[in-house]
Amino acid sequence: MTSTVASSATPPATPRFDVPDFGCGVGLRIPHYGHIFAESPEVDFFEIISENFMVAGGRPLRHLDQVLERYPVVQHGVSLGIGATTPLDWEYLAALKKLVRRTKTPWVTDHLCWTRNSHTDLHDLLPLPYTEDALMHVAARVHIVQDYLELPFGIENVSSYLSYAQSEMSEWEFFARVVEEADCGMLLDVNNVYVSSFNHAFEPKDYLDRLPVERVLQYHLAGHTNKGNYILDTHSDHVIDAVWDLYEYACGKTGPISTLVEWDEDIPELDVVLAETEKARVIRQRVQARHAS
Amino acid sequence: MPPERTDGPEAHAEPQPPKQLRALQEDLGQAFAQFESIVGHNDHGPVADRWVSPNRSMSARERADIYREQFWLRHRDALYEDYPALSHYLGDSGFEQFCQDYLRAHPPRSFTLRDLGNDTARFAASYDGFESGRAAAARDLARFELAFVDLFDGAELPHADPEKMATVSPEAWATARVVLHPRLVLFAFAYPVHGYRTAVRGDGPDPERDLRPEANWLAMYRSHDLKVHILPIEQRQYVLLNALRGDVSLLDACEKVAATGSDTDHDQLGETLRKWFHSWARRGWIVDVLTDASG
Repeated sequence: MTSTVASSATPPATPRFDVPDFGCGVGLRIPHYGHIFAESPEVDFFEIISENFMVAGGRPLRHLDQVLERYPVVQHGVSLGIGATTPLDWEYLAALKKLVRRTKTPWVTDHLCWTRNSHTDLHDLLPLPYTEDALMHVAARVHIVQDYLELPFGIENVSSYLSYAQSEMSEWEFFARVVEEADCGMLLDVNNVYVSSFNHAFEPKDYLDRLPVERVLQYHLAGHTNKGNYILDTHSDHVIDAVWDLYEYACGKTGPISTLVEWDEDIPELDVVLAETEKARVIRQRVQARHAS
Repeated sequence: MPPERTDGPEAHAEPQPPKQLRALQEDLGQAFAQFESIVGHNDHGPVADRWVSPNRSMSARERADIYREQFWLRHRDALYEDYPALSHYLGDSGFEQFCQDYLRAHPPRSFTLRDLGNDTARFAASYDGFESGRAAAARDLARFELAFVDLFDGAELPHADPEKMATVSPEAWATARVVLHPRLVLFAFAYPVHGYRTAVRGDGPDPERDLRPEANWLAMYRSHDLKVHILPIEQRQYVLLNALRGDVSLLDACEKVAATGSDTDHDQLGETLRKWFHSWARRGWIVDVLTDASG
């Protein structure tokens, strides 16, 4: 891996939220359960998909409790639909809060997107139009969710494959203004920045330069699939070098922040995913050394 | 410790959503949640043109169609995962047609894909799109595979209190009502679905797609260690358990069994019943015994 990251003498931003740096973790996925429970591998933390454990009982919660005995766990959701125009789902939020109490996650995240309309739950992370109206709508709903959950809430930038004719601002301006207006955290998915920069032809470092980085609660890293004229965010491969470079660039601004490697399709052995977290750890250490010197 | 917050929607007035944003989500949500390409679609193509911008290499319709395709693939794959035997039996073409017809009739409305197949058994029961001669087995498979989802992560429920059962007097047993575990699922099938599903999910070669009729009865349950078990049962056991589930007395339920079998030796039947109940209690199928005294 070659780094094209310029050395930064600027000290990292002072974090807006008082949350721990858990180091470098991986997503908790069923194919790895055997390894995790048999060998208790060294993993800094696990991230769970909240919805997978918002169930009444059975083995999912039994397995979660086993993981909680040994590792820190943070929660990440995919179905809140913070940008949807249907009312907030209070049954969902109550189940989420119940799970928060079980995991004792220090923060909760979901995506800056819409997931449903009045007819259908699309189970997708659909981008929002970057308009003033949408911004205020999302920010108001984030306020409600964060207030209800009683812990820092962060929203993640999504990969997108389309843009809207109605958009009035760039994605990064929209993202930055939503989190400032809502006074919430950010889950900065560096791969998503890269994917969207390819799909929408912008410079990814411009995106990172314009974010209120003191609000970053956590990083996401993942692989993707290049389809030729667009990139699909598949979480099905290794993180590419260009994304590692962006991660180093972002870390230079934030300092060390909990970092998660996602791998959700064609899931390899846990050791392969953990090897990716080691790459992240090396980058974090390099950035810290730069700041210290 | 601060007091527990109990607030919910009543404590948080949500803003009215912006009209344009709502219109965008209604329009595009409909375009994404269907199975024909948006590119040449008479209704959804103009919707994409209205809301989506083209870029250097793709039209607005092509960009919107990425999301439509993902909608289909995501939900198809979720159904493949939950219905391995049904999908094998129908073949890819037949199963995917079933999925599309099902999703048209029952668009996803839950935040979790776990609930995606909630209506599959009911839908299959009246679905006329199955290949000729395959409907009955497909319906058996749909019922069988749906049951796994609920058993996998359903709520914990209490098991019978052995001390209470021990206090039921011999006379009281006759009129007692036996309460079965709500997650005990009983099946009467015309096709050997259990063996078929096991073969499909096993490491060996896939079984033939055909299934020959073979009446069988199964009990599906979850043990204390949360594993899901499937146990073949006799038809008489099925009759008795179903009668007990119908809230009749133990005596009435046993008489139904006696009436169905050729076993006219009541002493022998009594011994059989004793063994059955012992086995069922051990497996946690019986959660309570209600007598006149207990109400």
